[in-house]
Amino acid sequence: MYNLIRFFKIYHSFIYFIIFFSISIFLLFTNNSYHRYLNNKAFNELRGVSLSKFNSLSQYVSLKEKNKLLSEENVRIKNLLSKFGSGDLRKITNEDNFYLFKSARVINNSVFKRNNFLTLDKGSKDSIKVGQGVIINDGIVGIVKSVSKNYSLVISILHKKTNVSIKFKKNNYVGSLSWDGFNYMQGEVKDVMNHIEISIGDTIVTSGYGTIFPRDINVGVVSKIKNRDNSGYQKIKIRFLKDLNTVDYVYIVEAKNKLEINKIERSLYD
Amino acid sequence: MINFNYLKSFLIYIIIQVFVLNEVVFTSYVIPFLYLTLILCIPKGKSVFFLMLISFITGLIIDIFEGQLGIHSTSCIVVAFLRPKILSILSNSKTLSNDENISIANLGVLQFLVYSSILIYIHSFILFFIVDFEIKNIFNLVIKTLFSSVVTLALIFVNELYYTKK
Repeated sequence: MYNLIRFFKIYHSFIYFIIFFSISIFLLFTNNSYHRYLNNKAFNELRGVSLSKFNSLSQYVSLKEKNKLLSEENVRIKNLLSKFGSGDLRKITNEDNFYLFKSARVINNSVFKRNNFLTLDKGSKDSIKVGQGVIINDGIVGIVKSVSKNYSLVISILHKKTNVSIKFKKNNYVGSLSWDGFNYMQGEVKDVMNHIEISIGDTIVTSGYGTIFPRDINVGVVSKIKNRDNSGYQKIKIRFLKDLNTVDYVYIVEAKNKLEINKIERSLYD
Repeated sequence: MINFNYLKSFLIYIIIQVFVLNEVVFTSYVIPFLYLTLILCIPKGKSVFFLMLISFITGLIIDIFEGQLGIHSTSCIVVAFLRPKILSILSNSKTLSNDENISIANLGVLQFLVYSSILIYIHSFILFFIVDFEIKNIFNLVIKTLFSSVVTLALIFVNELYYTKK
C-alpha cells in the first residue's frame, strides 16, 4: 500500500497527463471521423449565436456589393422562370424536379486551414438535415455536417476528406474531386486514366451520382495536367470558378427521394 | 484557486483568438495562437492538476469554436505536461516565486524567449501534425510550424512587453 502511494506521488503528473491526453484523443477520434458524426447540438447553437452577433457587425462593410450580386441572381432566375412560361417557381420545383433548394446566409467561413468549415443561419427549424449538399451559383460549397435548431455546420469542399463525384463536360468521364490544401482556388481531380484526353480549359461539372449534389453544376476548369506513367492515372489540377472566400448566400439542396434511394442501395449490401 | 484577474484575461484572450486571430488569417502558412499566453503565464506553484485542467478547458473552448473537437486540447495538454520540466531547467528557484505569474520581469528576457519558443514550437507542431496527419507533406508541416510559431512568439512577446512596461 505504501509503495502504491509512493508510486502515485512520484508519477502523479504523468498520470494526470495520461488521463487528460486520452480524453482529448478520444474527442479527436470520435468527433472527427468522417462517417460517424456526433451531433453536438449544444455546441453548435452556442457557436452559431455568438458568431451571428459578430457577423451582423461586419456585414455592413460589403452590403452594397452583396446587393448587386443578389439582384444579378434574381435576374438570372427570373429569366429562367420565363422560359418555363408559368410564373410560379414553386410549381416547377415541386412537380418536375427531384431537388428542392433553400437559401441560407453564411455567418462563419474559413479557407486557409487544412480542414475548413462554414456555419449557416438555417437549422432543423427550416428542416435542414445532416448530409444535404450546399451549393452556390457555379460552384459547390460543401455538405451539412451537423444541425442545431437555428444553425447548421457545413464541411467545406476545402477539407482533407472531401471526395465529390464530378465529370468532364466534354466526354462525361467521371472522376473524383479532392483538395490538397494550401491554395483555396485550386482542387485536384483523381481517378482519371492516362488514355483519357483532357486538355487545359476543360469544364468540370458535378456528376449527379449520389443524392447530395444535383447534376451539371459548374465546378471549375482544368488548369494543370501531369501524366504519371507508373500509376496509370493523370494528376489534374483544377481552378474553382467561384472564390469560396467571398461566398455569402448559399443554397442548401434537398433530394426529395433520398431515403428511398438510400434504402434500395443499401439492400445490395445486406 | 482562480482569481478574478485570471478569469478576465482568460475571456479576453479567448475572444481575441476566436473572433480576431482565427478570422483574419491571410495565408495557410501563418496561424497565430495568442491564447497560449494563458498556459504559459500560470504561476509556477500551481498544482499539476490545475495546470492540466486549465489547459484542457482552454483548448476545448477554442476547439468548440473551430468546429473540431480534440485538436487544440491535445496540443495544449502536451504543453502543460512539458511546461514544469522546461521551467525547472531554465529558471533558478530564487528569482521565480511560486505564486507570481510567469513573465519577462521575473524570468528574464532570454529565458522567457527560450521557454516560450520551445513550448510554442511543440504546440504548433503537434497541432498541425494532428490536422494534416500525413507524412507526405512533412516539409510543408515543418515550414508551417516554423512560420506560425515565429508569429505567435512575436505576438506573445509584444504582449508581455506591454504588460511589463505598465
